[in-house]
Amino acid sequence: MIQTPPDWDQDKKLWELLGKSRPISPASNFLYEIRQKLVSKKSTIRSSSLLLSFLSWSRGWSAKLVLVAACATILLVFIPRKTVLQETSNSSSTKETVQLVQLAQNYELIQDFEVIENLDKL
Amino acid sequence: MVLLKESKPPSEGSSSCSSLVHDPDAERMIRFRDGNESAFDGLVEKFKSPVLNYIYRQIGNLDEAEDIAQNVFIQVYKSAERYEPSAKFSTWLFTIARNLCLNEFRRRQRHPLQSLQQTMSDDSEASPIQYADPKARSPSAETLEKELQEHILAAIQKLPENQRTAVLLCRYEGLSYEEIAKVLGTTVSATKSLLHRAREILKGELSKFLRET
Repeated sequence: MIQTPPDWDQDKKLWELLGKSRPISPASNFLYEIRQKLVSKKSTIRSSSLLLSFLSWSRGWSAKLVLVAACATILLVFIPRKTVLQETSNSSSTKETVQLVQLAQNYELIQDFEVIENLDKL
Repeated sequence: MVLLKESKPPSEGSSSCSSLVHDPDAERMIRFRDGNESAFDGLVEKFKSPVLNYIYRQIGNLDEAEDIAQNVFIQVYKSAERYEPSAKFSTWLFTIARNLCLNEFRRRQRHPLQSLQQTMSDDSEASPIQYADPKARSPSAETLEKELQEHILAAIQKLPENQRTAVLLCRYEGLSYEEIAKVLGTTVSATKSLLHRAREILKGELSKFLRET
């Protein structure tokens, strides 16, 4: 029982009325849900740490290029291509490079044009 | 034994002597910090209902309140290594709860349509609110009781956030004015002023029920 503070003396009726607000009960699995969230957060942090470790492993562009190329290859294989070509070219290798670049750009994988130029060397 | 220094400012009419307060919850938190996981479980069991009710009365949505209440304890868990008992554990806990509620209010301001949808879904009978008192009542008494509960919650929700926090911590959690002032980041006299203004608003909003008592 919480005692009425002295400055509520003139508002005792209000104090008692507010006290009629019944509390709600937490779910029975409240602690379990917290533990589940903690486990989930730990595994997310672990995955992010692995990725960051890989990216910081090499300061040069080569490691990042490999990662970008790997992601772009996965996208080409598993996701249907979308018609996003801006230019056409007779050369099939140039066409493939342009398609790769466009796909990567659509998924915001490449930010720097220097990387785009180096894709020819793959 | 964890003893907290509690000093009252001279301007409040009392001398500036300090009294030492024994806080078993702070002790439990320190045991958790030092590796005792069951101490954390004990804190959750003790404070889950007060924290949930505080948050529910702040934001008015049960599902979100459950989620935010869980996040409060997740914050407690993650902050364990840095924990130092400079204030009562409950003061620190409700400061975290208040901050997460403020985050929720900011999120609602950014996404008002989403908040409206969640409020509407909360009104559906698919997620009835479970009250702690399971006693059977006649239908008319049940209706009156439900009306009273809704009016009290609505009246509290009409208060500005700082007044609402002060009322909730004072009336339902029994925090002292010093502790409430720490949660609000203000002085004891400002806290008293907030409570005074909150009482005036609540008396207006609940006048019908005050006349009946």
